[in-house]
Amino acid sequence: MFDEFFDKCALENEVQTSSEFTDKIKEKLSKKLHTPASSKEDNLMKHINIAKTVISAAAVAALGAVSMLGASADSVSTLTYTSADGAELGEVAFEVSSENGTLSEVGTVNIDDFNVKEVDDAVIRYVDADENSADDLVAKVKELSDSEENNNLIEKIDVLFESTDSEVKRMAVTLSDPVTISHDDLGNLIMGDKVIKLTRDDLEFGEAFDYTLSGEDGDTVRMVLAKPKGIDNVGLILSADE
Amino acid sequence: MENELIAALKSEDGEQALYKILELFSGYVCTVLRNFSGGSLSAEDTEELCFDVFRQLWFHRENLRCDVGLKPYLSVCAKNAVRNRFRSLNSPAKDAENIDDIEEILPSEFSIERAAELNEMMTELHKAVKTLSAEEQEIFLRYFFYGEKTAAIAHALGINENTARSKLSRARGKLKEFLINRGYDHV
Repeated sequence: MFDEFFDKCALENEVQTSSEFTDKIKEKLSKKLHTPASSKEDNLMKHINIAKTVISAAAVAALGAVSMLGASADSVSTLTYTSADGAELGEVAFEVSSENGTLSEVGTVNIDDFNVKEVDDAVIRYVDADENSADDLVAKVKELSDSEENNNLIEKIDVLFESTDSEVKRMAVTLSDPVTISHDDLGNLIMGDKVIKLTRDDLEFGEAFDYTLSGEDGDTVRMVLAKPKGIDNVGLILSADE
Repeated sequence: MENELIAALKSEDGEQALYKILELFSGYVCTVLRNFSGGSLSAEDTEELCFDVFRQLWFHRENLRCDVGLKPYLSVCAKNAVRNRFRSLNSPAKDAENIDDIEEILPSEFSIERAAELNEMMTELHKAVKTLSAEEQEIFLRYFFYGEKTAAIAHALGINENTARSKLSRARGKLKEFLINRGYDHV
């Protein structure tokens, strides 16, 4: 299609790559092409984005990870969870009421919707206790992660947030070496040996809202949805400054 | 030739076609990476991003359309790879002039992963480029697909840089208008 244009427009200063360079790339490609999709490396790659989502959110608020902004007063917002390859893992609907400024969950995610067959799909934050207990879900993920197929990919699973009535649980998955994703006290993401520092300027903020924790205590906290600029599939729910 | 390579890439012998494409186009990809990054990538980064471009090409080979050709796909992959690298490092490219401007015509949502939209966009862009004069076409191609800066384009064409800049601006204006008239309201 564009050949006719490219043919008329040869670059004078095109980079000349050496055979050593192309051989190196070829070797890496060959390794990649001949590695089964369920291998540890592929799983690691798929997990990176998901784990970023979980852990970065946990770093600041331990409430929930979102991949989409948009909660606004008097609206029902759907927060969609996506995997590294963009496939939707599921969604949770939240209703924001301007009357009392609270955020309440109006829908829950059913584990069956996710067709949990691989560890990738098991990084689910919400579960309806009536149909699938959160404990069952944690057990299932552990079982999957311990399997030979997954090469003990997952080092540990942390329950990050548990409501008082056990309706909602969320897990963080810590990957085993060579890729470790964690966070520091300031909420910066640490991926391997790289620290992705997040400051106010790095974030796009949505509207602030009050989130009332379920359970007997019913504490209300002021939160704000935020998304690090330029980092896909990472959403944060931060404690909001006044 | 490029359409034959795309067809071969999708065939049973696709792996060999990939290596052939690597041999033929690694220089092009490295050039685009260099130009879009303003020459700020290290040798290791260039190697890693180059690998990533060809890896993406392989994993999305079924979505490639023969008539589009390889260079447009490779260019889009390389541009996105550079942008993502700088964003992940939280550091802008030394000279992000091209990336920012190209976002107006071909935003980052258009990627090889979303081939249907990208292919449709490429078809419209091709039609749009055909409406430009020969000189505008070359300036746009160098800027858009090769990632060349206006100074380099002016030097290559033997014209004043200001002239190159104004011709590019006019060409972009025409393309935007053409695309907006066809419902691409993001431009």
